[in-house]
Amino acid sequence: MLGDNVVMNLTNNNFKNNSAFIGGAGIYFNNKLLSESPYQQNNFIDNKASFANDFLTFPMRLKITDSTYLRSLSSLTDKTYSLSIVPGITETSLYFDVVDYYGQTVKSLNGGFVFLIILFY
Amino acid sequence: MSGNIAINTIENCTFVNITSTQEGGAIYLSLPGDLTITNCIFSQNTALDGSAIYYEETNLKTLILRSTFFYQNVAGENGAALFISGSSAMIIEKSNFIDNLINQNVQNLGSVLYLNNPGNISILYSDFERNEGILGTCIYYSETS
Repeated sequence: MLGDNVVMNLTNNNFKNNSAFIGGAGIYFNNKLLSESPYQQNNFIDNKASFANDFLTFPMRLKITDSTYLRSLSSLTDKTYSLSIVPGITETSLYFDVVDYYGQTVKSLNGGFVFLIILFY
Repeated sequence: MSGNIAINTIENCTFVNITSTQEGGAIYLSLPGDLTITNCIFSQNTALDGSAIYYEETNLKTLILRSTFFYQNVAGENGAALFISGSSAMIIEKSNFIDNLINQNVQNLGSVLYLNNPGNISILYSDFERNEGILGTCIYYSETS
C-alpha cells in the first residue's frame, strides 16, 4: 500500500483526453499503491495509452493466459498446482501476462508476456 | 525573478513564458515553511524539470495550490507543471492542468505532476485534460530510497 505513513487522497478529479506513449495516461504508481481503485472516486474519460489507458502500477503478478492449461490447473492444498500433460509429450509451454496491482496487463514497447517452456526428459 | 525571497503566499499572479535550462521555470522552492498559491496562472513555461514549480529536498512543510491554472507548460524531462521530490505535504484543490507535456523520450516520466517521495497528498476537485506524456502522464508517483 501507499507508504507506511503516507496518505494519498485523490477525490473528485477529472482525467480527460490525456495520452501516454507507454501506459497510464492518468496515473502511474511506482512502488506504492492506493488501497482502492482510482475509479472509485475519480472520473476517467477518453484517455489513451499503449496499455492501461487510465492508471497503472508497477508489474507485480503473473497471470496464466493459456486457456487450455488454465482449465487443467487445479489448486492443491500445499499451494502448488497440478498440470495435466498428455502422455508422450516432450515439450510444452505455459503463457503468462504480467499484470499490475489492479490486474491490468503490463507491456513493454515490444509487447509483453512471459512464457515458460517445460521439457520432459 | 531570481534570487532568494521568503514568502508563504502567492495570490493572483501570472507566470507566462518563463524559460530555464535547468530546474524550476517559474518557481524554484528552496526555503522552509509553508507555501500557498491561490488564483494563479502558469502558462507556457519551460524547464528541464518542474517548468512551473520545482521543489526538491528542502524543509518546505506544505505546498497548497488552490484554484490555479497550469496551461501549456513544457518540460525537457519530468514534471511540466510540478516536480516534487521530498517530504513535503501537498494539497491541490480546484486546479486545472491542461495541455502540458514533456519531451517525448521514453525515459521521461510524469508530464504534469512528478512526485517522488512526497508526504501526504490530497488532490481534490481538479481537472487534468489533454496532457501528453510517456508513463503516468497526469500523476507519476514514486518512492525511492
